[in-house]
Amino acid sequence: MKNKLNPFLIAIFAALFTLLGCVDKNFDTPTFEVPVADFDSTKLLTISGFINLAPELAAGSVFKVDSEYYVKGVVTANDESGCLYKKMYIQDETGGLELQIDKTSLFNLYPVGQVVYLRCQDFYLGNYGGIKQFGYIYNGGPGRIPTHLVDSAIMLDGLPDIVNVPEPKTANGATGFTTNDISKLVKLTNVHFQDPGNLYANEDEDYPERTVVDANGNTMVLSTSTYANFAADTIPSGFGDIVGILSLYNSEFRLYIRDLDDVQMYDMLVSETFETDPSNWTKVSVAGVESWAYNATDTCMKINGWGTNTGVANEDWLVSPSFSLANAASPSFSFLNRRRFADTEPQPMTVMITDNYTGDVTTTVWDELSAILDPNTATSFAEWVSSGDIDLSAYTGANIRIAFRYKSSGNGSGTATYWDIDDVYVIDK
Amino acid sequence: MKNAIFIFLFFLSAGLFAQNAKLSGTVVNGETKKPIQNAVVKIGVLQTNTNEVGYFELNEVPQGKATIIVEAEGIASFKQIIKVNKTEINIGELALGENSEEEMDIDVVEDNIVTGDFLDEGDGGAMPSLLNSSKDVYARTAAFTFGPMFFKMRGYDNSYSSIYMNGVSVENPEMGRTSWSMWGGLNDATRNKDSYVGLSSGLFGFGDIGGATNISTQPSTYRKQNKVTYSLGNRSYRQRVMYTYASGLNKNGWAFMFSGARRWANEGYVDGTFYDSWSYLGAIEKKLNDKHSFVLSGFGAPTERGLQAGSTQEAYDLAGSNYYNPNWGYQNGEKRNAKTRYVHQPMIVANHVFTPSTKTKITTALAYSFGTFSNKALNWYNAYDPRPDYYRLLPSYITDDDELQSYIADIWSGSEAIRQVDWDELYYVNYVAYLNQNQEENGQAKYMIEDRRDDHNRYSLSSNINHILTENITLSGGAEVSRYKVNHYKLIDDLLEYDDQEGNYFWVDVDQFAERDFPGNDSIIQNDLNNPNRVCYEGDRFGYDYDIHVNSEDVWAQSKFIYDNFEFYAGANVVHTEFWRVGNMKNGRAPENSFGESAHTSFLNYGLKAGATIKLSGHHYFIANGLYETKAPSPKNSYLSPRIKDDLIDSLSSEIIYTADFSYVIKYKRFNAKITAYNTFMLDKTTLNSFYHDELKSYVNYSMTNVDQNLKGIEFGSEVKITNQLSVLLAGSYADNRYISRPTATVSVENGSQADSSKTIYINNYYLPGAQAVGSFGLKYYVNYWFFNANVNYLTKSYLSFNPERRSEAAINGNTWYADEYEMKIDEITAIEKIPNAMTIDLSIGKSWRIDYKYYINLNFSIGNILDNTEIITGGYEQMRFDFVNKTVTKFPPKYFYSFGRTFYLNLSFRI
Repeated sequence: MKNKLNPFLIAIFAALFTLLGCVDKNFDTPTFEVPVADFDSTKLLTISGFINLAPELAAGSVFKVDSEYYVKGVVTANDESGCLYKKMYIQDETGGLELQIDKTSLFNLYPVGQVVYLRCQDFYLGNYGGIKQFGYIYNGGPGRIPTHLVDSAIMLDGLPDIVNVPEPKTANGATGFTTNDISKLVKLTNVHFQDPGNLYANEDEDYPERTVVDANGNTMVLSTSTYANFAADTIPSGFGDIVGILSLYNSEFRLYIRDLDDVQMYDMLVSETFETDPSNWTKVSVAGVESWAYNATDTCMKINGWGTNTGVANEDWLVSPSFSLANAASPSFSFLNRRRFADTEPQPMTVMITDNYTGDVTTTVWDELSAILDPNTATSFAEWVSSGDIDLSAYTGANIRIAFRYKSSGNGSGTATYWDIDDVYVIDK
Repeated sequence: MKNAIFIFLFFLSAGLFAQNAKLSGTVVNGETKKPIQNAVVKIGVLQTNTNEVGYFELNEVPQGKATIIVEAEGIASFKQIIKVNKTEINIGELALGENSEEEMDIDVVEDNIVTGDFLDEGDGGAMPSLLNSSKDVYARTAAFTFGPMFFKMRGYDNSYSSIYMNGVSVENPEMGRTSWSMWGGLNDATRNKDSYVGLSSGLFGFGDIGGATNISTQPSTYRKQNKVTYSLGNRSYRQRVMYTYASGLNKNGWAFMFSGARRWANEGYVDGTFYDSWSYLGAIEKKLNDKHSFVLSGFGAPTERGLQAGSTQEAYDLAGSNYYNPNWGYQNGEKRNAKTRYVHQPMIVANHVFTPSTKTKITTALAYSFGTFSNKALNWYNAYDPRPDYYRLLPSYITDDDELQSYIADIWSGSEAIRQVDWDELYYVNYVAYLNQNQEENGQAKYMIEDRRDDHNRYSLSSNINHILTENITLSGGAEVSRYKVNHYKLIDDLLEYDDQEGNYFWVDVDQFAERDFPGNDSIIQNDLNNPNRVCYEGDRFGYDYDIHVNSEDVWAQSKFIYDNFEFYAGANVVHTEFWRVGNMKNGRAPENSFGESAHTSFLNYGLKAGATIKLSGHHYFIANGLYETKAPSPKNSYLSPRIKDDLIDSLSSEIIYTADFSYVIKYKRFNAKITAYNTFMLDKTTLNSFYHDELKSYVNYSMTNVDQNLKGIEFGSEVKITNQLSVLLAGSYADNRYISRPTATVSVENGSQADSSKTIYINNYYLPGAQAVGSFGLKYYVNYWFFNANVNYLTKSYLSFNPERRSEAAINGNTWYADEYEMKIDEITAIEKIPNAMTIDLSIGKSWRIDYKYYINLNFSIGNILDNTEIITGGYEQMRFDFVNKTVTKFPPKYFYSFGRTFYLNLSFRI
């Protein structure tokens, strides 16, 4: 018997091969759709409205949200750096709220700037040591939202955008916050770390804490974590601003930073807080008998053209020592000032700068700097006023001096202002 | 030792000449008395095929005693000793019994590949289906019935069996084991094989303690055929079509064979497991004259499949199925499997068969193989673990709030979406990361599918000689040289980009956990210091990239003596192995010992074996075999952390194996039985496991040296013909396989977060994993081209693969137990888990038709596990993590693999 390839069988084979279907291993790529939260706008609460569902909630207790409510907020902080663990914060114009979630890597789904809507029903409002939380119940107390429920508790709305994040509430120094600011983004200005050179977290620390101090000696604890990706970074010296989430522990405010971008410390080129009468500042009296003097009570510099000799016009300069802006990239200058009494002199207070001091204020060419000056003309002082950050980048590379020029008209009663200067800083941002 | 072999080989070439005979006869079907066409008739190295009327002729048969073997497809073979004392003999009719079992070619090895957390999950490991057609009742039962349940004969894995393809070893030299998928689906065209189980003598190589098989694709040895097969089933694949053509040897001395097959399933027995396999084989033979034949064969089987992952019993119970597969998830409404495997390793073999005389046959083979073994899986960076059965997602993770725990359990069991991969979220997260890349330090994609590839090529040259020295003595021997190189690397396969984002996403080639452990250290985190912080896109290599080279030379020889009442053989081999690593990346965790060529490591190993058969009478035989060998550790087990560096494992040494078996065989016309006792020692073994440690977020390499094992037991197989139609089979074995040493474990963490460390593992006298006692009772009924088969099978004495960490001092030290609970606690941590006993019943039924002696139709239908027992654990492992602080074993419970429930297989073939 001859044996040749049999076309009939090959045809059967081919038919079976092709007709019986194929294995589909190519998957359509999912189509991207901008997430839209599904909520009932008539049931929308603000964050403070949500917290006020149970205004008297005791610490350690939870309140179950039985009705349909929604809360809108913008993510202000999450676990991206590892400093925060299984929690994130949202905020609206009425307040901030801590979300307790039993999941890690939240930042992938909820970046800072993401708008979310909380579907509150069947979830819990908890009070953990005075901090109001959105979460779940765990052994009767405040707990985290179980992983599998996160998607039903937190709805995304739109894509994340950093511009959604509200400006932090800014305080001068480390004080000035109220319990309404808890879980909100805040900014501490002109503060410094108590122990620069230390690490943000040492490996053997369970609950690393670092202390921030402001110019007036007020302190606030900054909580970090050994899991933070900046744990092994060194705490910077100098003054600056720190942004973070305000929290509470043992009834005291504390701060969580999100990452090191939240810490903006500056090189301090000049730091004069007038704790003593500075010998290297020059007091020059161009006219009149009064002169710049040291105020030991308030540790600041003062000038008052009134004195005992009324009717005498004054011109007095307080000139800083020379300092170099040779290595400065973006120098900026600030000081605090306060004033009282009115004067007919049109420009009693002027801030000057020069890069070519002759040793004589009258022959030196000065540039006038634009500063925020205390407008108070009452007979008593109001609060200290910050000059604001005065840009000195035009003088980069030069040796400069700064001067405070004071003038009074000397024309009878109410003819001189009283001016105090304190906390002169030149920093390089 | 070497000299002895050369003397041996020298003798092989000496021939003896005597008057030769012409032998003829006719082969018929014993049942129907119809002639059988194309049966293969063999005496020693001589071989021919029967013609249309079953007639055959063999010329040049040497004088003296000869064993004539007749084999025909689908029919039990025939073996008889004849005396050649004339120059022309007609031995008349040789009647072969019908046995349709061989048509039951279910691809046993292809079923049920389940993966764990381990990185090197090769395929193979279960017993080969090659042994299905073995004449040994026990071996056939062990392979066919227990093989799918991962039963290993004598506890040996397949690295202890030698497989040759046309005389060339196909064992993977790096892994030391054979990948069956190389020729998967080519059942018809790989049917001709010469094999033995356990210790014996062979004609094609030294073999190994588990046995040896040589598959031949020489076209002239295949029955002339045009055959189409269609199969339908519900196991790994649902459908199969297969076509085979064999021309037989034509007048001009040419023979051809072609076979092609496809096996596929959009979804197999387990959810989310697709299967797509193609296979092809072509072989051409030219017989120049009586002395020279040339054969060229080429084959391959490109196969892609979705894999199942083993899970914990908690997950199975909550999902309501022991076949729960966490690997898949819906993507655009279709099930997408995150873990897939693609294998395509073609091989080309050129053979020269040289028969210089009727007493001598020299087969030479030159082979080249190459191809890819690829495993795709999810990888993630600085993102939530995407595996839905991640232990933190299961109710058991909550230990102190019962209410919450039961609520989570409800959610888990109530929602398929929760239990499966959330592809939509992975795509979305990647997109958000892309949008935010300016704000982030790194800005890379968070999730991707990575492709872990092993691309190899290999050249082999082998030559074997078989020579009949005298009437009683046959000499065999051979040599093989092999040059193997494999390139291990990872590719970015899919960055999970939305359609309009194709090409936008990227991945930075650094180690994520090293980054977290060594903040600010920009050098240690690099996977390749030669290309630091390299930005990779789809299709780029990343992670690791290294080559392993393995060179080997192997010489073997064997002589066999056959006398009336006594047979004896002895053999020896010498193997030289040399291997080294070439790093193509300079890893930041091992800058000094990762890039470039490593030192070469070499081993010289040898083996000796001998065996004897005493024929007490024609019905009673006593057989004894023994083997001693040393085996080089496989390169795969020799490098401590090969993806990172080229450090060898400390005190790397050859494995020492010695074994002996004793059998008693009874052979009557209606009754045969064989009982075997064996005892095997495997000493100084080296093992290496790589697995993902989800707390360290790194692959961890776990090496054990000085692993000694003792495997001993009894095997029994018997067949009783109650009537001409009805047979009863009984087969079983009972083993006692144990560890007999305290190995040293060395742990190497790939991200470098922990220094390599060693410890003692206390496992002396522990049982080896797997079933150690099995039994099967079967009935076979054959009448009028109908056959029925039924088997009841039982497995017991099975143990789970264990986590060595739980058997270390650290697991016990620092405990706070009370005195009265001490022993209980130690037992809880260190005791080995016994797997429940299992029983299955299998049935099959078949019928063949023969039309005009021209067309053959074969139909068979089989049902496996007819009781639909879905509680059969075939294996599993304790997770490689342990809660050292709380000393609880429940935090990381074992993962189990289950045998399929009821399955069916329908097979229809049509042959001309």
